[in-house]
Amino acid sequence: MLYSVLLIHDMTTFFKGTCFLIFTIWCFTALGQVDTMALDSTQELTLSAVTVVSSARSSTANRQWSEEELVRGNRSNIGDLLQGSGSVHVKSYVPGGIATVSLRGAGTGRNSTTWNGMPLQGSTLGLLDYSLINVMLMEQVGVELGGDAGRYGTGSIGGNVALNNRRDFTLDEGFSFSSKTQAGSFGRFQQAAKFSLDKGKWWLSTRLAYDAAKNNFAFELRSDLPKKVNTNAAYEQLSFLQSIVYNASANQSLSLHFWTQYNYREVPPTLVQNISDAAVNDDFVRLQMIHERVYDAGIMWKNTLSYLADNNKFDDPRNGIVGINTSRQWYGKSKLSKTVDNSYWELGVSNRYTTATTINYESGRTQNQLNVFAYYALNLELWDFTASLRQEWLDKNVHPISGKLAATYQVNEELALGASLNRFYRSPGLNDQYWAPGGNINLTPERGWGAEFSLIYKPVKQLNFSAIVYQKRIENWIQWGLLESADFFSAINLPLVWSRGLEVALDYRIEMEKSSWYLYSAYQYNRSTYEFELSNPAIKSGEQTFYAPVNQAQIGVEWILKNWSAKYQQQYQSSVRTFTEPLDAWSTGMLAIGYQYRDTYYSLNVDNIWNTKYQIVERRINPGRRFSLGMNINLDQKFKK
Amino acid sequence: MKTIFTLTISILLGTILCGQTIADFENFGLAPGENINEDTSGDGFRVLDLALQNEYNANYDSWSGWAISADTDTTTPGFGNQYSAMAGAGFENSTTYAVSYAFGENIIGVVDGAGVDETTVLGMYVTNNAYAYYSMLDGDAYAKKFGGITGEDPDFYSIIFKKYLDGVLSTDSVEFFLADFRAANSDEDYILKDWTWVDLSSLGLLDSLSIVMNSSDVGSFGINTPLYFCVDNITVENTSVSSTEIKALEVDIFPNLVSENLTISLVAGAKTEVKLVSLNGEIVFTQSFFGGRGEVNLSELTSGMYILNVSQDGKIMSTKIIKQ
Repeated sequence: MLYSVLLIHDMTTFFKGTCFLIFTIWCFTALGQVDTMALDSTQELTLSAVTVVSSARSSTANRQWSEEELVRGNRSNIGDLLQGSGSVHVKSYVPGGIATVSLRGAGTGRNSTTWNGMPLQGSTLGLLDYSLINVMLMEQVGVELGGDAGRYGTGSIGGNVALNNRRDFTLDEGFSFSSKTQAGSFGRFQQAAKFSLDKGKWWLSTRLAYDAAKNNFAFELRSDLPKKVNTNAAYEQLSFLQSIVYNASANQSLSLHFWTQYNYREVPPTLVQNISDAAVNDDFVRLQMIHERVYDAGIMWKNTLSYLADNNKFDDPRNGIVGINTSRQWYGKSKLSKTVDNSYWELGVSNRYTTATTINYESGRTQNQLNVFAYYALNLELWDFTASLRQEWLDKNVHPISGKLAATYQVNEELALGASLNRFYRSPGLNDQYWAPGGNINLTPERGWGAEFSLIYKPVKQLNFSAIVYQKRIENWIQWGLLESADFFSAINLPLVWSRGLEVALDYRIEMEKSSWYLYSAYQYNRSTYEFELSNPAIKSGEQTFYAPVNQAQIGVEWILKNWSAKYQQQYQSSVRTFTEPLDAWSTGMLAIGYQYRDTYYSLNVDNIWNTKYQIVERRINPGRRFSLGMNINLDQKFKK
Repeated sequence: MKTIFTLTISILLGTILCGQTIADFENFGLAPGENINEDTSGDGFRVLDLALQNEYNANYDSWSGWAISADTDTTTPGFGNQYSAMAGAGFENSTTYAVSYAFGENIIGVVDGAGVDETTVLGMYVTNNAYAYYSMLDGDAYAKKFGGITGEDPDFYSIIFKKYLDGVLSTDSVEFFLADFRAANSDEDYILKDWTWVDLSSLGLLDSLSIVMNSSDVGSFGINTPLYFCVDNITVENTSVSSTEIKALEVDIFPNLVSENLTISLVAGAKTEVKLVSLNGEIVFTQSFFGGRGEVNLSELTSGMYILNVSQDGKIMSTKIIKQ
């Protein structure tokens, strides 16, 4: 424990020192360039198109947010960003609060997350808190529903969230700066900045973000009762991510990404709790090095080496609870790939070694995940085929082979049909295995089959319709439960959870002389049912899984006129089952208005515009109407050749 | 009126005049602030002819079943104060008491001592544990404050006592409410923090006592309220030579249904102490007198059921009376 405390202290010092050091290097690098290049005085500062449109709106199982959307949107973290985007259920009750994600009703922990291709979900719980990732740190965020354990490995059951830092600099050589400032209700303030420099063989990008809020919103539980104010709900987050890319030659590059962060978050009292003074401190360092080389035969060899150090401290002085958790991960991946005409193949091996300590492990625990994987894609005139395959060894245990076969057929210009078959698995986390009491070293990994059929119909250029039906059978479902005559909960394998659903989306775009309209709608139906009985927790066969809404829907309209833009979205979620009382269905509206003036974009956002009283987490209430004002500056400057 | 007992009227109004032994836990020799959460014998904490089960995990210093405690902290909420009774000490300011914590059933067994393996447990004093008390009062991250969001939820936290005899669990039970917010008038809501007598004589002869907690705050993972409570002065029929015998006090009390004056008549003439305790544990009346006969005026008392304790020369008698 003392070691952990010292480590956290050291991490904070390390964080400050590293920030200073890298900034110093960066500034010297940038200043050094000034001597050798002159600014192109004839070059106008370039502006991006005026829009608040998000591409993550509907229609297909894959959604992506571009760098521009991430910068301009009013969402500060990935958890907020994913809210209201299709079959994604984000379990979060306050902006900046802990946010876990469930895709297609598979449950939290049953989706993978990658950062530049490396798995990011923790090995202890198998979860990732998406509120800890500021959107300004990434250049690209994507959600791929349906999962592909062949490509993404363990836990890719409901889908995959991809976070990427990528060289998105459109100028050959130059300087780019963007900033995001937001202030709003409940003491919310965010300041983030991104600097990129592209010169010669070097590309540098520095991202800094500060995000904080008091979240001291008032809420009314019943009209005849006095209003209450949310207390002990503040958070503060400071992030730094540095990328350095060195192109040694046209065929070889070396990338280094250094990401460190400190996060303080208070835990407010529940609705049935008078007082809370609990708080969580998180800090981490993530270091990633990627070497890519293309050989004469056209084969690319890509090697990734990463180190992740995560510390988490939960402190609840009122209840005398202190929990300190640390984990360290070494990750290495080596991959060969080649594009041949209309096909692409890759073959690789990866290894993730994790050590973790917590007071509830009898001693420090380790886990080693060795993976061999392959991927193949073939594009024909009317057909697209992909196949993925993966074999994992978890410590000394061989896991089932997983993979995915997918095909798409372009029936005609208007209609495309797709189908896929997916074999997936999920390794038990360290907590499932070693938490004391209750950890079960004899757990077997979850595994199962999934199938999906899709249809995309575009009768005219402006209209887009898609429909997807899917089903997934998750065997050996890992569940914590109280066994008969036991005094504590323990992790057990249970036979089956069956998930099936339908996703439909329809959008229509109207282009006029000076303005454009975009109308979109989407609906998701998901039935995820336990196919077993358990007394504690009380589960009956055929019941919907916890926190899995059966129905979700989004409808919205976007309008752009010259420099003005506006967007309104209404989203709906049906009632969900929780561990206590069920939560009512709810529907909220969001309005965003933007104006571009030269290189600055101004925005006004109103979340929960109708001041709906709703809950996403049991015994927690979400805030009512809230406003935020934003200002984004984006400057691109080419260097004179 | 809160329904607390399932006894018949005749039992309610009867006096217990047989020989009794009291397990007061003072034999563990704890000083105030100390506690024991591990039974090193493996047979359970032994007090007289009773055995209180204990499961202990040395790796995490965690336990379940029973612990023995002399903790006195009545102000600190949370798990860290799991060994304290809200009364701040044992019954009648004694040092030591027992703490119960179990997910499911907790057991007090009658051990095979002095040829005895079954007895009648006449009753015991119980109160809330500090962790559970403050959880019910203020709520915590897992459990609700009683009364809920509006203060109107009909919450309760109770102990259900049953008996095992020859391995068979009885259907009869005694339920005692450590907290009760079910009354129509919320002024009557209470969370117990004083030692209160629970009469278990109706269970009769037993070879072990089954204790299961019940609460209105239940989720899919079971009861959310911390499953703790405290026990002292477990009183059983005198059966063993190893027991500290408490002689029954021969006393006549009349009338049984009292509206104004209650007469207490004793043979001996030493100082007699009379204490009247409400069902939520509050001492509502105390009086002492010398001589063989005393009269207590209860006309100011609210109608309802009370526990009358009469003690004289180390002998005690407890019974219930009904104020009309």
